[in-house]
Amino acid sequence: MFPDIVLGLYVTLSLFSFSWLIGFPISLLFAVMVFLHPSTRLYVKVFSVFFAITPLLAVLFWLHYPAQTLLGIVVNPYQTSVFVLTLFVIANATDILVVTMIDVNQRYIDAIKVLGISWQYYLKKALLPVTIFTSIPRLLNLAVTTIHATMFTSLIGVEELFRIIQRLNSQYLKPVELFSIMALGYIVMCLPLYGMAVYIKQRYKIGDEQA
Amino acid sequence: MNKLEAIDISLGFGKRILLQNANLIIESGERVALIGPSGCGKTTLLRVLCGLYPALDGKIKLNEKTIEANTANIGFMRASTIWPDITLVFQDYQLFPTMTAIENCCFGLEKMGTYKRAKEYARALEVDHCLDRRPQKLSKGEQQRISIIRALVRNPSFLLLDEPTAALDKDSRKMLHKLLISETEKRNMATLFVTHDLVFARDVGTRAFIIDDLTIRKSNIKSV
Repeated sequence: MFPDIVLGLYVTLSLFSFSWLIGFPISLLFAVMVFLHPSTRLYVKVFSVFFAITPLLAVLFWLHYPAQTLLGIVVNPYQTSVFVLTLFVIANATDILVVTMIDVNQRYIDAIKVLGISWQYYLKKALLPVTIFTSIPRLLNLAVTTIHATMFTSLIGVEELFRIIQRLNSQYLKPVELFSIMALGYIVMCLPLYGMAVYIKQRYKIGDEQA
Repeated sequence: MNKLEAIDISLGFGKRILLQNANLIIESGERVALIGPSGCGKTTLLRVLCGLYPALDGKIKLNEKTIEANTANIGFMRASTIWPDITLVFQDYQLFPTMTAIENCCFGLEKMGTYKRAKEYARALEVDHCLDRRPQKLSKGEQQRISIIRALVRNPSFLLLDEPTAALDKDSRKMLHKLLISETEKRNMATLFVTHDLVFARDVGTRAFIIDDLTIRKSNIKSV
């Protein structure tokens, strides 16, 4: 029973890590693109609104079954899950970064102008670092949501915690213990991220009101 | 001899007119106090002088360079290329939270000796103990002094300050008073500061301008 749970935890963490390692740099690029070319904001907004109003499970099922049938390809469930979670991260993180970048720019642009600093230097040395720094609490909350979202991926066949728990439950018939362990697993993963978000908000006096 | 002039300048937002055909001249070595009631356009005038806002009408002249204030390109070109000699210290400091105080002071300056000079100014304003701290860990008074140092290390010919003593206690005000006087004398820099602190204005200023009735009038610094 125990190795199965560790395996589920490993799958959850790998889904989370891949989606962020791929998704976050792309979000940052999108945010810079939107900032430099405001006309592209509409496309990014449509993309993030799509993910805001469409249940992740629906996207996951659609890409795993009908999309693959239509395209005549077979992609394993793990890769489909990484793809969908990456899109989820890109949609939400880009939205957070764009809003924060516009806000940060409004606050500091005057200082940059009167200090005689070039646009490129400002973007690289001040705007991006301050934007990421100010976005940290909201990005950590998104990270927690991403971990929760990995649970859905079990429904398309990934050997993930939730499905393993169901299988183990049918073998051992100890639902309370098993589901408690599963819940504890998610708490152990999410609590440090949530705690870090709260800590950073308080320590550096940043948060949603600035973003 | 450097000279900054606002000629027949009109300022306002929408239908609200703040200044109409007002004139102002500041020359090297002067310390000029700009005084007036809240909302009369003091901060707006500072921002127009350093190219952050357009004026409704009039000209800004820096030595031989003239700009039609209402048609000028308000942006990076004007603020950082055409007017490299003017620096403004903001009322809300605008320090970057990702940098330490010393990094904020020297931001964008790769010149040798900038750090050394920033440290000297920090010693003069007694904030040398907090140069390695980020702005969030500084008091308002310390942040204000750091933002003044950030402007001074840029060697401006014209230093504009918006309420430079708003967050300072009596001792810090005295230190700033000494530093501004020594810097204007040593480097022949001109200082224009907006203040409600009339004692500071009298102690530091060599001249005063009062914004009143949509215009700027000269006043004897001792009588403000």
